[in-house]
Amino acid sequence: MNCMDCHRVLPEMMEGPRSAELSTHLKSCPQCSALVADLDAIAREAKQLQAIAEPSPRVWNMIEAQLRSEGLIHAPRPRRSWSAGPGMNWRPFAWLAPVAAALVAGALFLMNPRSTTNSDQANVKVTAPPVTTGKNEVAKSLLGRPPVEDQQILDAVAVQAPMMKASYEDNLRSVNAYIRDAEQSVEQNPYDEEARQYLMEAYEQKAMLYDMALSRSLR
Amino acid sequence: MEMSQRAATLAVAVVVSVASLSVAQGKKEMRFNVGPRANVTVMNQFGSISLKPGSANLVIVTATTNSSNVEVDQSQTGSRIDIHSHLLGGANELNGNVDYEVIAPPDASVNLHSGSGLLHVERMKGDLTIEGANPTVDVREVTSAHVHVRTLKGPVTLTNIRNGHVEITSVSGDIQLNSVSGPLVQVSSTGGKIAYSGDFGAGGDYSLISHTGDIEASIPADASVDVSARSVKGAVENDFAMQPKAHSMFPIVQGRSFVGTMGKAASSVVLRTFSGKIRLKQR
Repeated sequence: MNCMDCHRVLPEMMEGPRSAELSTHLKSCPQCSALVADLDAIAREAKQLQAIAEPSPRVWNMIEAQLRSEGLIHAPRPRRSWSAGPGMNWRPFAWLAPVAAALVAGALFLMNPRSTTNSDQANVKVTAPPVTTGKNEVAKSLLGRPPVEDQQILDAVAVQAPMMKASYEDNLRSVNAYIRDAEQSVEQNPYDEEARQYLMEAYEQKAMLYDMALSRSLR
Repeated sequence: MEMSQRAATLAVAVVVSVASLSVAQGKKEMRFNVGPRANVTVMNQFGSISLKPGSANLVIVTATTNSSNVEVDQSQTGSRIDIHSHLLGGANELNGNVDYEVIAPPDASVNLHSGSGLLHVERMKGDLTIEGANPTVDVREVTSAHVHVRTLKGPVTLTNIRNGHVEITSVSGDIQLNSVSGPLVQVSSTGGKIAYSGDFGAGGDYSLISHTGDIEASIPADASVDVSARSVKGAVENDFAMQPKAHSMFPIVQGRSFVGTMGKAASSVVLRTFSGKIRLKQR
């Protein structure tokens, strides 16, 4: 078995037993061995991520219903699954896809699900700030992903499209700066609808970046 | 004598090189009969895609490959056509390049994806989805269609888009809109510049948002718009004397924000940036 053969069987290998032939190659090839070690590490992290306490489905349903009622989200348009095509198997990184979705959903959660207009603001008695400390905590754990998560995205890009890694790195840095500024704005002006909208835009940018990083068509 | 031998050797080398090149480069034409509102997807890793309208029931795809390191896969299910560039072992950005020319029915819904190269679309009337990490996107003469564009850092230019539902998201690519109008035009960027030149149509929602990129909108004096512009840290300039509005969603800071209307305020225009500059200028 050579390196090319090894790369070809990597996806299956991640989910099943390793053949003797593959094991022999890994022992003799430091590059493939390092790659497999990285993939193993990502798979381990993925399992831990899944184990993180998740809000009940009811919470997500409520958020979704609220967002739909306010017209902030719509029924999903039919969208082709790019990962289903022939070629490389993205299953080892599939767990990252919900992370991208969580970025947007969580941003909306952070921004306070109640959208107000001028007239609403006059009529509705606000009993709590739109962004509470509690929500911030939730948001930070849910959204303010530590760099390790970005790193995992970059690792995924490096495996599938090494020449694109620098570009993704630059863009991630820009988007993270966007998010930081937007979060700061919301914290400083918790009643500013514009600031919340701005934060949502920032997270949508990051979600798009994650989505692109995971899309094999964009190699 | 030695000279002529060298010349002969050189000639042979050139002939062999050209022969190798012609073997490596391949052109493949694919034809598909389709019904109304066909769905065409071209998924390319590296290389350009050009899309133009053709006859009502035929899709023609011409793929040009640079090497044997990439194959073109095709499939058809009813009126749904899928074309994929399939990279083989050892493929990279150079030898994995495929250039596509697509001719599709004008009403076809088309999805184009490429990581690099030019994505060019013209004169289509069906919905368009154009994505890629680093392509140059150029869409023109499109009417009554959804136009969705997503890039990481590839520049995006839209020209003469009428009655469109336009959504553009780019992290760092510059975005240029020329005569783009429709019920919904949303542009979002992190670091790219956004430039709009047109009249903002009538009755549409226009939203141009960037984090650090400048935003410039050039409109005629008779445009009918309800404008709200705000930069948190950058300068905001306005060439027009506008009708003031009684209410604003945010406090107006001189030189950093303004709200106002022109004409009958038919279209809503929102211009937002965090640290970029905003300029609303007369065309």
